[in-house]
Amino acid sequence: MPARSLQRFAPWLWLTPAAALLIPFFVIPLLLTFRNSFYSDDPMGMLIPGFTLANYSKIVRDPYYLGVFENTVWAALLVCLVSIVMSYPLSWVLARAKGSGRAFLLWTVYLPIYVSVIMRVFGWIFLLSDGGLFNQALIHLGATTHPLQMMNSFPGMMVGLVHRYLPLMVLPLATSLRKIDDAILRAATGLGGNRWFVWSRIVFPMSLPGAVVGLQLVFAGVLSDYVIPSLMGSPHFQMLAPAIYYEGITNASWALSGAIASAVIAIVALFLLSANLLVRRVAPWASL
Amino acid sequence: MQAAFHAEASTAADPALSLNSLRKSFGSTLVVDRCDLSLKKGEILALLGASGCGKSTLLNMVAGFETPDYGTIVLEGERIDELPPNRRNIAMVFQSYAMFPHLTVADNIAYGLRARHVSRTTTQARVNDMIHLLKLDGLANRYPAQLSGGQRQRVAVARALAVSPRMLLLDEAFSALDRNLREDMQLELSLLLRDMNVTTILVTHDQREAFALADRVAIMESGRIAQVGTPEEIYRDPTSSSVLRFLGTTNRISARVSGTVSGPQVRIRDRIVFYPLSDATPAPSVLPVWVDIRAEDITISNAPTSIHETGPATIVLRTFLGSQERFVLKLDDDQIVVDRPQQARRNELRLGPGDRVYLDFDPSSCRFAFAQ
Repeated sequence: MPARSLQRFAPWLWLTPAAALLIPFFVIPLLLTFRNSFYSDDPMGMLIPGFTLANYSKIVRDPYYLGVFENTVWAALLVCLVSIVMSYPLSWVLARAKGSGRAFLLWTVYLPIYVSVIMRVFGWIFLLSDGGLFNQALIHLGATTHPLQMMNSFPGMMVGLVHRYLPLMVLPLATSLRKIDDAILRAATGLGGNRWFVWSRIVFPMSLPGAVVGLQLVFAGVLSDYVIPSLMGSPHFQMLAPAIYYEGITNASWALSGAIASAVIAIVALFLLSANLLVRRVAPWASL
Repeated sequence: MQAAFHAEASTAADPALSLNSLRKSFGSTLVVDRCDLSLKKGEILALLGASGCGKSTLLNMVAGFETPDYGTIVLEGERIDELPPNRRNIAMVFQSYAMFPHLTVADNIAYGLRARHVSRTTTQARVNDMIHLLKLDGLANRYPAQLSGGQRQRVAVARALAVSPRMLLLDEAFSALDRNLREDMQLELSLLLRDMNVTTILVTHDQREAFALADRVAIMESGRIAQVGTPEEIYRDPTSSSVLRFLGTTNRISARVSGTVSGPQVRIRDRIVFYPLSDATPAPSVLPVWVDIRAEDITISNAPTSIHETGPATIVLRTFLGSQERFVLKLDDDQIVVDRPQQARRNELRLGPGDRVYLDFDPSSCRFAFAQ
């Protein structure tokens, strides 16, 4: 092959290590899962090849599976809402901070990511379990006689999910807010805008692209989270990832779990796509 | 009540803006020190100084982005130094232009009017006027990212003037433009501001810009206003060597002062160069001094012509600058730059590197500084 045409492929050659990892260990299993979703399960735990939409029709008709989908989407939206509300003030401070103050704040945001999620859940167990620090304190103060159920409850799971996904909201949001430099804020105030006007006409619209990226990361993360719902969630509030695991591993219903997994991927893809279209519509300037 | 006070207080003779003994420090650094200034309605004043001289801080105090530690700011008879920036009705054009990237040109210009809750139709009309006035026709729906630097500056000016501010502040507003574009914009803006009778302060470190735009120039030096006057006044009669050194190409020649019966004498090397005329001459007890003089105020000839000459110097370089030619001379250890108007060259002697020449100058064009 002449050197010239080799050069044309050079950028793609750099991708080979990544492709060598992703294709056998990610793309192919994913395609197999998708294929399995059209097979049928047999009671012996085997997959029967064929083509049927029965698995999909089951998850749309069975109130149990519908409930799991509904729970998960609802939980994801709620985590999105809570974390975006919590992120704005923090991201604003982070975006305005300079020097070592900024480095310290960034470190506090990154720190939870450095610690394994299992370790973080253990931390929450220590705080939230029946004999945990919070309950001991509440009983000691006489606020309650019996320990409150905080672990393995919906609120407990929400605390864990927000804790896990907050950095993914803060970082893109702070990046967006950082683009609003002092001169822009001064211009916005100097031209007569009061605090509310500057916030609603300048700061909020300029933060939208970052906020949407954060929402995408948090939504996709919660929708497919396994660890937090299994360790901190309520048995009465089923979430998708544990349900897929249960169907696949415990029930050996590979076809059904494949269908649920494919549906989750479709929901995430749909959400990401519509969010991107939304940004292009409400913030056309961001891609200039 | 307030309106009556307003009308009474601001008669035609009163300054539009007055700054009274403003002072500001950051930590232990005194950045602006006892600054007094006043501007007439429609006047354009340039604050000229090196970076870090306090000119931007002074401007930010007028705009309301910094609070003075001491002193008052009075605009059209109203004390404004305690008002927040959004209630001063002073518009500023920033060095970076501070475009709102998410708003189109038209929405950038309309921003200030919307903040004032001006009606939709009036806003639209005003925006159209400003677009036309600043030659932005056809660009109304573009985003700042789609504009050139020059166009962005026009939008920044349009956005500031759209609100009919009581005052306009320009903070190094031209420094991001190429030289040709900068000079065109300076001329255009100078005409526009005079036409609209907008009281303006511009901050710059560029003498050409200050002179091109301003009615009066204030030279700032380590937090204080060193001299205020028309461009001619401060150029022709700088009150100190530091003001002189800030304007044009200048030389600093080492000299000594000694006392004689007829008064102090300034000596460059061992030659008596002149008997200084001004009171600002250092006393003979201060021996080493600097003599500061502009390149264009020195004449050169191949023989001594007056008592002010310094003894022979050697030309090391001649450069052609269009309207003038520039000689770089060596006088012992001092390097001296001399500019000579080009049209005069025909009947003057041709000079080049290696030639020995005598320097001559009018003592009144010199300023002194103590040499440490």
